[in-house]
Amino acid sequence: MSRFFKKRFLLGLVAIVILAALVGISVTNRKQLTWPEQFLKDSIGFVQDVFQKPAEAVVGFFENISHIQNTYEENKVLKKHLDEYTELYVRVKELEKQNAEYKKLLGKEASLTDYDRINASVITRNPDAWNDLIMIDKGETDGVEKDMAVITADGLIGKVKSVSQFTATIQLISSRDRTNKITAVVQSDKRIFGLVEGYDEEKQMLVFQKIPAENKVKKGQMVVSSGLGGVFPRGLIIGRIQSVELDSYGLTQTAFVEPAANIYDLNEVIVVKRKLPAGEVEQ
Amino acid sequence: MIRIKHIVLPILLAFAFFLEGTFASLGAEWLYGLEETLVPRFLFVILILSAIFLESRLTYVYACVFGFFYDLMYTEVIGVYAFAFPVIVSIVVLLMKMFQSNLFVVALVTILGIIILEYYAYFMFSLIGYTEIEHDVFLRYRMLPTLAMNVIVYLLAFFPMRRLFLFLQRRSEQT
Repeated sequence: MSRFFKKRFLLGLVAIVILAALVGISVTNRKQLTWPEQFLKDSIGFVQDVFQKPAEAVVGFFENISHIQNTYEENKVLKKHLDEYTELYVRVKELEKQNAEYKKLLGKEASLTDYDRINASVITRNPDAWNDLIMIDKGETDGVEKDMAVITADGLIGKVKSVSQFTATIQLISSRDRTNKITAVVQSDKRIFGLVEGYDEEKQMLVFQKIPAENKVKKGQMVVSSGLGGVFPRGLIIGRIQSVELDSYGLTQTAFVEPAANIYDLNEVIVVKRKLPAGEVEQ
Repeated sequence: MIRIKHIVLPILLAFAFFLEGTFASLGAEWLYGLEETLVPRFLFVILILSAIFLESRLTYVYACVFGFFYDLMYTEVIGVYAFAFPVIVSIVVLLMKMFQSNLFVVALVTILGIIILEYYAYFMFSLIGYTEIEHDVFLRYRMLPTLAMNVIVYLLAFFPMRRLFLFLQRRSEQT
């Protein structure tokens, strides 16, 4: 009996040491996954995708049925918007043309706002939700790199955490990870720069911290990425300010930002590849 | 010697593993979108049932392997679940040596197993710095809803799984 327990005890001890070592290695901010990790991730991701696609089709079918019920009402609203849209489209085209001409005059080719898109579909999501991760079906061979921004049509949803050859893992903006920071700017008359850092799980809102108290930010103002630092382009929509609180010393204020994109309903996402390389950033 | 249970069990576990991911990504709106967080633990429930009704040693090995896959795909911290799954399953098996394996008793030890697993994950991810939620918030908004959902999963899985595992065990003993 005692020998039996000794063996168990020893086994447990060895296991704990191995656990500590593995966790220690994993937690350090690694630039790249090792190739066995990449290979396994790609293989598991591939099979997961086979599961995901038919399930998605079935869910999509039922969603479509429920959408049909509201079609008439929605159509009315959309028709109203369509006229405004045409007007806006013409203006944007005109502005784009002007912008291109000015750029040519200045001799600049790429600016902070320019980016290429890599379309990807979601393979899976972390079920235990301690760290909000999703996996997409595009990887290094498609040009995805670590720390790139990931958006949907509505706005920013996260950034690339790690890349394999054919898949990539994305950390959503709702993650509480300390490294999850986005340099952002509030769109008002004056540009107010700051850092979106952290997520309030109770309010389900992003926390936009350390805005100097003399800068007035209001509810409803848009927060977009500033493109300073990292590889995010400028002008990706993050969300709208919902409430502003003064910090305890009254020197800075904290704004709560409601994400523009729905981070709980993700099927198709876009990985954003900035045209201007990092390190060549100017204000 | 390779027996039929050596083939069926990994296929079953792989199915539960992939189903969990797909379920999480398509059902995210009501699993995580509300204040409550419900964590599907299909794989873990089936591991416990397999350890009780099929063969515990074989299950430990697969618990470690699938825990490793789980870490690789979802937590990106290797070792968290690869360690937890076999250890907690073996605790459950140790407990089951004292009891009869009927629906009610197995339900109790399964619930206990999930409680240990959730607390362990909470502890580990607090340590690593992935989360900072308070204990009472964790208990109210994560532990209780998760338990409720997985008890339903357990009730749905118990009879078909027990039947399958006992059948596999008999077949393996015959040949």
